[in-house]
Amino acid sequence: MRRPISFWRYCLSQDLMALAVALGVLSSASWLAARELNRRYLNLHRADAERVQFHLHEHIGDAMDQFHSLRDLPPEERSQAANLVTQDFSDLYRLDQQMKILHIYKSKPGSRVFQGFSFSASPVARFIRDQSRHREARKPGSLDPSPVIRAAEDEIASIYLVLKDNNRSSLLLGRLNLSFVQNFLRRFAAISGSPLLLVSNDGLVMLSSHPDLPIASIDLNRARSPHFPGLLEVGNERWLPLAGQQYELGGAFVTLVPARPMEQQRQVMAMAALAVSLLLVAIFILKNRTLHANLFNPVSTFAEQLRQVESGEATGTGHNTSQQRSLAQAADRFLEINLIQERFTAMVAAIQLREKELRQSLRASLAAAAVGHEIKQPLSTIRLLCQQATRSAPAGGLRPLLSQLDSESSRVARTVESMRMLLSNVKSNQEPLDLTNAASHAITFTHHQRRSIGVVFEAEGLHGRPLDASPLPVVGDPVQLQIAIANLLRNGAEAVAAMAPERRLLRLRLKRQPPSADHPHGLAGLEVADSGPGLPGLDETEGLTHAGRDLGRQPLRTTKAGGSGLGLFVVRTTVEQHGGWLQASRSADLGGAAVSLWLPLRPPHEA
Amino acid sequence: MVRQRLQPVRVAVGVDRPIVYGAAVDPTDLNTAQHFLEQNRTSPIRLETMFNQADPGEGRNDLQAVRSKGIRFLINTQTSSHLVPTLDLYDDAQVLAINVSATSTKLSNRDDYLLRIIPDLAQEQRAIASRINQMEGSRLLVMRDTRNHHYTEPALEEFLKALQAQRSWQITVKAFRADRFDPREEQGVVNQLYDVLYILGGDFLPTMGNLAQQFHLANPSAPILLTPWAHSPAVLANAGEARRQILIASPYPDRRSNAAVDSFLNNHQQRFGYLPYAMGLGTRQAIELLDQAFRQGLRTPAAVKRHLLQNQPHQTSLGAIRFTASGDVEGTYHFHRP
Repeated sequence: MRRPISFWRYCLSQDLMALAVALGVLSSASWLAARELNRRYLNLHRADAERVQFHLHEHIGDAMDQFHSLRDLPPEERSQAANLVTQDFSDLYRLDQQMKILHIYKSKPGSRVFQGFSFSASPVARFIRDQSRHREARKPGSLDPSPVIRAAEDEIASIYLVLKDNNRSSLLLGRLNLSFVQNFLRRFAAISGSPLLLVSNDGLVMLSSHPDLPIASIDLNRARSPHFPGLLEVGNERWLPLAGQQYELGGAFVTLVPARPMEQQRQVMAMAALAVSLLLVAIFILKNRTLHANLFNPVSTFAEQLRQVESGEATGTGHNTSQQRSLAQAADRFLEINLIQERFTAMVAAIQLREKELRQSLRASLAAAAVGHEIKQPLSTIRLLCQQATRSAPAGGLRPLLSQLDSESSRVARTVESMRMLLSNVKSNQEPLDLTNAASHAITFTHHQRRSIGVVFEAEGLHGRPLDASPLPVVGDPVQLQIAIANLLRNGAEAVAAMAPERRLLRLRLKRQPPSADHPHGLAGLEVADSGPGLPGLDETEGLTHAGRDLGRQPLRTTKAGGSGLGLFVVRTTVEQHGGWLQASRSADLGGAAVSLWLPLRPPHEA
Repeated sequence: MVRQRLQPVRVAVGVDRPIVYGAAVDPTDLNTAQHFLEQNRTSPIRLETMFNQADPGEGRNDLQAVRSKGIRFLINTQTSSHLVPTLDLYDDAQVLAINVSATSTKLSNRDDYLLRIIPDLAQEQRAIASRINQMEGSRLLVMRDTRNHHYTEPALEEFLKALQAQRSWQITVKAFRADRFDPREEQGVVNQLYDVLYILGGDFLPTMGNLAQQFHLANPSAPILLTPWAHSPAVLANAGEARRQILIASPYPDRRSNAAVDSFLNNHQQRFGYLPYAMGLGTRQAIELLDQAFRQGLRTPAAVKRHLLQNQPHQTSLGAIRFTASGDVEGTYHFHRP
């Protein structure tokens, strides 16, 4: 079964879920937006790298034409024509099959290669071998440039072109010194604002538009990633390396995009998302605080007060003051709550008025019954004496008067008996209740009296107190029973008032008797014992050895100066109306009176 | 299992700036360190870069630039000529460097915060001299690169001393600048007949390959010895047919005889697309040493130095390292044919 939760918690959890979803959507949206902005920004720069690549490709195309022209010249004319025909080449050689330089047609000043120099161990040799291997697959006369290679001539990044010479026994090798690209890179980077690098296939940086930028290598796999390449931190700057598509160069141009603008974009998006999130959280808090103050708290207060009304507790006291204040504030603000408040107040007032009337009615009835009881006793004596006097008086004389007196006394007795009968039918609100609750309330009502007398009070069997804390379910009128128990407590307190201060002891004890033939559900008992002089007619021996005397068959007399003896009578009458009886005895341990009331326990199946 | 989150430590790894305008920079050392961190995701090391200017006179500024950033640990790849003028900066515990590339004896036996995991040039040159002494012939050409003179001058001295102590040679010593190599300038010497060529080069400039080839044209059967600093694919690429005559001295075993070295080189080539130069092996060992120290919670140069000098030997994936009391190492030399 689902455990019930408060409406406030339910609404709060719903709102929290909504808030979490909203924040999740917001952060995802801002992340996606930042990512898209970054992607567009990167694509712009990636296009720069590809433009440079295209420029170099065109340049290589021109160089190939020049190279073909050189091959078509007779070998003896090549040296002279080399500077005119092949302007883009810095070096031109004829190689033997072992890749050793046979002849130098053209050489850059300061070159570190010489006639007889062998390329056999260099990447140029690998390139030439690859060319030979794939020659069959290519169109006749076509040639591919080498990858970007660190040249043996001057260590500068270069591209080589190779062709079989016309005599077929040697090779023509031309080198395109890419230093001109360096200048181009510098100019292009000055316009675009991003450094440009030429990177060989193995990731080594071969040329840079910014020679002062000490970047040794680039991870081309990451730089070619379509989304976000890894950050490169150089000095105090962070860059995103973006490579163009792989070209026949075997390497790539890489644009270094400053990461700062992208980071700023992301920060702005994050700040915006954060601001909106904070706003949402603030709205959430404000809304829920207002709801709590204006709706949930008043509703909770109503519920608490209803519970108090149901349990008969006084409303509007103690810790509920603040709740009631908020209820009043909410009632001032909202029409619906104001209406509920008014109706509720009216209902409570009506209940309290009815309760007061019932108390007064009961009190009047009990008083009348007590007076009747007290009248009936002497009236019986008067009638007996009248009858004796009538029998002994001579005929005539006083006899008619005595007879009339007897007759009138008889009428008074009948009237009193009628009152007793009327009293026994006093209306009461019979309902299931817990005798321990009635006892608790009675203790509370009589607390002030005990304190003023200085009574040491002990309660056993109540909730939170020693002995059996289980309920004692009975059926009865809670107000009448409460008054009855309060009477017993008052009697006990008054009985010990004349004792020495250390001997003013009073005890209330709740008891339970198991089921018997007469009482199939058992009995609930309540004993009030004191350390006073005790009830007259109960000697010590009897009080100690027997359970007690049934007070239902005893005349009630007061032992207190100024007492009327009505208290016990009211108790007895109330108990009898509830199907129970009173017992009196002498308390074995406290030494004074011990008055017990017994009521049948309510069957378990009854509500 | 809950992984312990270690406080990161910044470690600068040296990267050489371009020597020749527009030419490539070899990122071996930085990539080696990056690769280590990719393989060891929980390492507390956070990589920084220390740029080495081509001019040795800038070595001090390069180091100051790193110190000013608050970096306290370096894997130093400077040459001896860069490093010697900066030695006073390692006297206090401001910064601890593990050098993988400078073998000058001026760095030896100093109780400072510069440790080396490569033997000094005296051991190196004695090994080379010993190897040459096993060769046939009597005419020896020594080509000394003057760019890294803090290394090549004392190295030549040690070499000649060791060589002549065992055997008498007809020695020709010629100075040259590897970064300004011009074959026409060298042909007068190189084209003569010799039995052995020793190129005493102070770094990995590829022109040593050109020079070897030029020598090889005139002396096709003469062996050519190169220093450990020539152990670079770029040098060998320019060597042409002279490659067959080359022997390279190295403090590291040949990859053909050592599975760990072979694995390191293969993995690097697979990851980055190029073969690293041999110094990358030292860089790998250095970063492993620092990583081990940081994982023990050591965070100051003094504590790491104490750990490195006291808890010996240190195991790395490329072999064990044992420091001397002054933070140097001793080792044996191998001669590789490329």
